[in-house]
Amino acid sequence: MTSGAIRLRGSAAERRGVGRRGRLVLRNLGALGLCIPFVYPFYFLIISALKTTQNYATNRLGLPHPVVFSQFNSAWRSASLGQSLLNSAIAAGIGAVVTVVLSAPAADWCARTKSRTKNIVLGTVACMWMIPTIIWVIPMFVELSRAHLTDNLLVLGFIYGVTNTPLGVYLLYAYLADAVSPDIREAAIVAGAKPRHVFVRICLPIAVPVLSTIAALAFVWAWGDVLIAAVLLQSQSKWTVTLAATSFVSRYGISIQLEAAAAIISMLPMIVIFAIGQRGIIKGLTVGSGR
Amino acid sequence: MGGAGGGEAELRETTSIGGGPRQAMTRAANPVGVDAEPVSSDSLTSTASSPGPSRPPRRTRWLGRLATVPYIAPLLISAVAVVVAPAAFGLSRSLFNWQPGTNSPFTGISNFKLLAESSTFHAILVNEGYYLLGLPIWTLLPLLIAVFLFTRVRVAGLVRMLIFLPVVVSPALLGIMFTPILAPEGLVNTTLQKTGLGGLARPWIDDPSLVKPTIILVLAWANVGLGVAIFTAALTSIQPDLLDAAAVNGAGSWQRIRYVIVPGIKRTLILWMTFQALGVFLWLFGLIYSLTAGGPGNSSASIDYDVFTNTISNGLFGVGAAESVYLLAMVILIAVAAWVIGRRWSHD
Repeated sequence: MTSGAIRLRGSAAERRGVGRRGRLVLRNLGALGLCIPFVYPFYFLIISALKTTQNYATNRLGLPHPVVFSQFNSAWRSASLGQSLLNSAIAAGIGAVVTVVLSAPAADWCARTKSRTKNIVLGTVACMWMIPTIIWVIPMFVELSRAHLTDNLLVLGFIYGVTNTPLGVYLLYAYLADAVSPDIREAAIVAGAKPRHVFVRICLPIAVPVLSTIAALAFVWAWGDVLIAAVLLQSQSKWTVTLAATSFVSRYGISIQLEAAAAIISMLPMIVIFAIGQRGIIKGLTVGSGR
Repeated sequence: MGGAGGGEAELRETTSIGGGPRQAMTRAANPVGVDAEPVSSDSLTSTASSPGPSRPPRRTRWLGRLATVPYIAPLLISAVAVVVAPAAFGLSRSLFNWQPGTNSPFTGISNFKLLAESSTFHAILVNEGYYLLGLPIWTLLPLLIAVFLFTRVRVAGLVRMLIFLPVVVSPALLGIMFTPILAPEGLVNTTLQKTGLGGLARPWIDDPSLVKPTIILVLAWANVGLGVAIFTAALTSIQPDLLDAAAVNGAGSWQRIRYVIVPGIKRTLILWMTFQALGVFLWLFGLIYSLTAGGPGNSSASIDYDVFTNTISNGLFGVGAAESVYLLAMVILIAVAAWVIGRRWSHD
């Protein structure tokens, strides 16, 4: 038994000794090669959008020569992306604020209480997440059109904010339950603080990174939505950029280069936000899977 | 009895958030005091139903409960107003010939019958079942990549970041992005032609038999990064000794995955698969809407996309409501199935 184990260990060490360097290099090259299919489509979109039509016709996969912005220009104008970018920023911005404002106090309360009411809050929020959007957005549309509130970016923004609260509550709850121990809370209370002081002066300041992650994710998800926008917005002047780009791209006879340009314009703000908040976003999305 | 006293103090602290936590603190700090209190006869009779002497006056308790209202009421009220109430209202409309703006006569289960006999709806159910076949790909691909990157790859961080890039792209933007990529003259076909594989070029999203596998692959592309991030986080919780021991004892990569890694991250795996399965019913709309518009024919339509066309485009609100009932039933079914399977799996 022992001799067998020793023999196996010897052979493993032997194998490791032989082509160790070569295998390591190979592994790393393989890992980099793995990225190609994930990066290549983005590369294609960018180079296609930067080419002249003739350049694209003769050289589809190579680098653009000369680099022109005419595709962006014409996609921008014919889909009126400028207006819709602004609309998206308004709706998604309101959404991000509403998400944080609604979920922060609730998450704080859930993190500090020991009462069972906590499960009602967390349960409602989980339910909300599990109900497919289409189920509530159609009746919502019927009710809002009765009140003449469709086609309204403020209403849209508020709805985005509410739909993203599950994310906010769970992320912040998980964080606060961990970061602000009951001891700290008790100490503050003994020192004469009210729970609201603990919330405002201790929890909110130390949770700023998490709060900004929540705001970033809420913004990005609202930005990417098309269902709620397609149901609630009728007039083209109110369209969000995702909706405008979708209907532009699916229009008949649009060139691939214009489609690529529209895709880049509509995705760019999300990519920028992600690039800025990358660390926090990845951490936020993987919360709870490490333990 | 000392332990019970401490417990009561804790309990009281929670029921009186605003009013008496300071009292509770002093009690918790000196739990002996609870026991030392002389037990009078009337408090003995009341202990059966309530903790008795340690309860604060009713007024304080109510104040305490009132203090929680500003914390949770805005969230709960808006959740009910935006999601729960409209959903309940809409689902109840499935029993009517729902015509918003005019009167909607009660029609019983005729909407459901209509759907049950509709060949379009059958096709859409088949589509949803087909999409669920992507589950093994959506799970194995990120798992294998995560394991590969976890074992001695120096560039792992960079690779994880680059792979994560597509995760930021929402389903709808994914559709916009992949329209030029999957077009007949798009990236995929051009690349195939340039590399001498022109025979493999296909109209990926215009062929009814190819569109569903294509969508599964697009979703795989988009989700791998998140899966890798989540599985990597889970992998760090496995004892490195276990993996080393397996390697030293001659276990191959596959055996290591099968007998060490999978059992080690079981909980995460179950959660991930549940989310992916639910995602087929919760988040497909954006991709279908912007990439294929349900087509060609109905060959890629999901239920939520069909509800959208039935109601917003065709004005069949009652039918859409009945379809929503089916959709919700399927979500609940998946959630319950995942819970049961997950529980059984994590017990053996």
